[in-house]
Amino acid sequence: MNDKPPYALTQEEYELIEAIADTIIPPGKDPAKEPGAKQVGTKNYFDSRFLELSESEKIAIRRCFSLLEKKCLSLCGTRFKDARREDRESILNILLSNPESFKDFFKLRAICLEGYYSDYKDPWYHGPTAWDIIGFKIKNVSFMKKDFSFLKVYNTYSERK
Amino acid sequence: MYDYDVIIVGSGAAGGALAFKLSHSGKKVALFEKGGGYSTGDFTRFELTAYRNLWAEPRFTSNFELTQGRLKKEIALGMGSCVGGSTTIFTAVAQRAFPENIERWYRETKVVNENGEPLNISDLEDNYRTVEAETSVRPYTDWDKGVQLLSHGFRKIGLQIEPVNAYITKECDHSGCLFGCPTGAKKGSLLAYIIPAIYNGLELYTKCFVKKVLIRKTKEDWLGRKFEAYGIRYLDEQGNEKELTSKVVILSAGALETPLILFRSEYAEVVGYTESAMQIGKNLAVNTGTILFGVFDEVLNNWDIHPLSAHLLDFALEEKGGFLLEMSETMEGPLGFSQVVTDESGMPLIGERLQMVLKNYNRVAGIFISIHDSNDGEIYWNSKIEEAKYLKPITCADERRIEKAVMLSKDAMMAAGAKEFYRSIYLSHHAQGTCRIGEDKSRSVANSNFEAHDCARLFICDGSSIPSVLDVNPSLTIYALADRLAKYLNSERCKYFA
Repeated sequence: MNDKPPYALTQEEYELIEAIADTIIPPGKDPAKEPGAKQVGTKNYFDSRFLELSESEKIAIRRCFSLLEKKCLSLCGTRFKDARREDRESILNILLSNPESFKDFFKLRAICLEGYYSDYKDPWYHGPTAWDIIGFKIKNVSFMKKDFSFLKVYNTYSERK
Repeated sequence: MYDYDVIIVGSGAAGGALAFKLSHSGKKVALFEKGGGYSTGDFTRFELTAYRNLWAEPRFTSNFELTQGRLKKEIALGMGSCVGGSTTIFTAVAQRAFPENIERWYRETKVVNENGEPLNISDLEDNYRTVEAETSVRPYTDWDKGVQLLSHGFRKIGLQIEPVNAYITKECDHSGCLFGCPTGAKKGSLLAYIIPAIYNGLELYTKCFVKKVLIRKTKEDWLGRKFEAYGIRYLDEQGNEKELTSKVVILSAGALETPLILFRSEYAEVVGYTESAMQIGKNLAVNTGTILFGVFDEVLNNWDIHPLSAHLLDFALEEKGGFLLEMSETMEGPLGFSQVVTDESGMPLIGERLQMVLKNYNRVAGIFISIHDSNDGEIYWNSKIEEAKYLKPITCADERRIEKAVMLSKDAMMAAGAKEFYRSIYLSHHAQGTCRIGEDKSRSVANSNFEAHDCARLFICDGSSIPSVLDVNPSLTIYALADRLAKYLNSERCKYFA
């Protein structure tokens, strides 16, 4: 069994999801101050989350991966992770706007957003998160117990416990 | 002989209220909930935890697939999945139905009152009054800055928004409605009914999945029914299959789940594919909704608000326009907001545009638009793989209503100073009508006393019972219907507990 992620995705899928998350949530001009999904480790969130998906959901996500690669190859002649950011964005938009693939891509996007806007950061990242960028502070912050215990990556590495 | 007098499936508005009212009258009641049990101290305001623990996984309609590509737009159907059901995570809006909506029920399915006359709003007066007192309903006048700003905008275009009625006490600290109320001010089913019911002796089964209603053949009764319900089969938290029996079974799992329990019970097959049984899952209405978000110059921090504290009812009825506006919804946190936000054409945002609107999230106010709906949806069940699919057309008329509402909302927001606009995906939390009540067996599943036409001792009471769609939030009416059923079951008219 792998000690470090990916636990559920193949290495190829792991790299692909990093590129997808980076396309959905890119960093600001200074990634140290305004990190995107790639910087905070959304791919590790996604990988651990993938473990708990149902078989049909896993199939749907993998269908998205395959569609993205096919589309990218036909439009740009490259793998998705190697394509330019604007091309990656166009391809994702095409597939999100297609009624046939909308629901699967919406789910894929939703999990990436969970791995970023829920303030997730993986054990190897110590910089600011989405909430710092947005200035999201709420009343009763003492009640705010963030619970990432359902993630294997979170449980495996004690730094985040 | 029986394990319980009553088994109730689903702990939302109707299930919780029934559990309280029936246990209070001395009946031995079991309440089943698929989700977990959490209470005020567990509601931490952390979005992700709430979505995982309290909300059902959102399910989209399958309009494109079910119509071979003719319908292209889908609706995200949301609901609670925890003790208290959707009332634990709802925005606590407590509006009575319009009289016109209730009058339509008789036309749709022949719903009658105790005297056999067409049911009208005055028949529900006592029920509304009772449940409003039990759930602490009051006008929510403590408006936040975002609502005050929108109120100013509406006034400038000649319209007046009003406070909603809400199930919220004065202890409300304006945070976290959608994630479970952290102060206990929101009187959903959990606090108003289920906890008091536990003191009455209610037995609450959490994380238990009800697979089917147990139905057996019996001597034909005075209504010509040859079958009766006598209990349920369920999976406990560990996945063990068990059975419990009761004199009466009440399905209150909501308009999306109750039909699935009947499908899994092979109800139609058992009772012989009657007209009434063939109505299960049909007539789905959802009050299709979308949110118009406006970005303002002022910092509003609209995540620190009660999400829906004001509304504009002027256009809610079909003949007046058919749309309801409620404000100032912004999903109460960046995760929910990022997931639903779209550009003005309805395209989910990604990339820099998404990052940009999220950076401005503290300056966003929203108007929730929901439309008068038609009961033209349907739930399809694939028994081989035990999977449901939902058809709910967004018709041209629906789109026209939505666009009208968006234009009006935009005018008000611009008058209030909004500079940029975004939309949300289509969404709904108000599913209704999939097991309707009424005396017309060809158009309803249960009679006006909520008892199944083809199966004695089986009652259905929740959003699925509503014969034709309401033009306001249906939760108060669902509570009122539960009050009606409780009064019936506690009366001498009902012979099952003699």
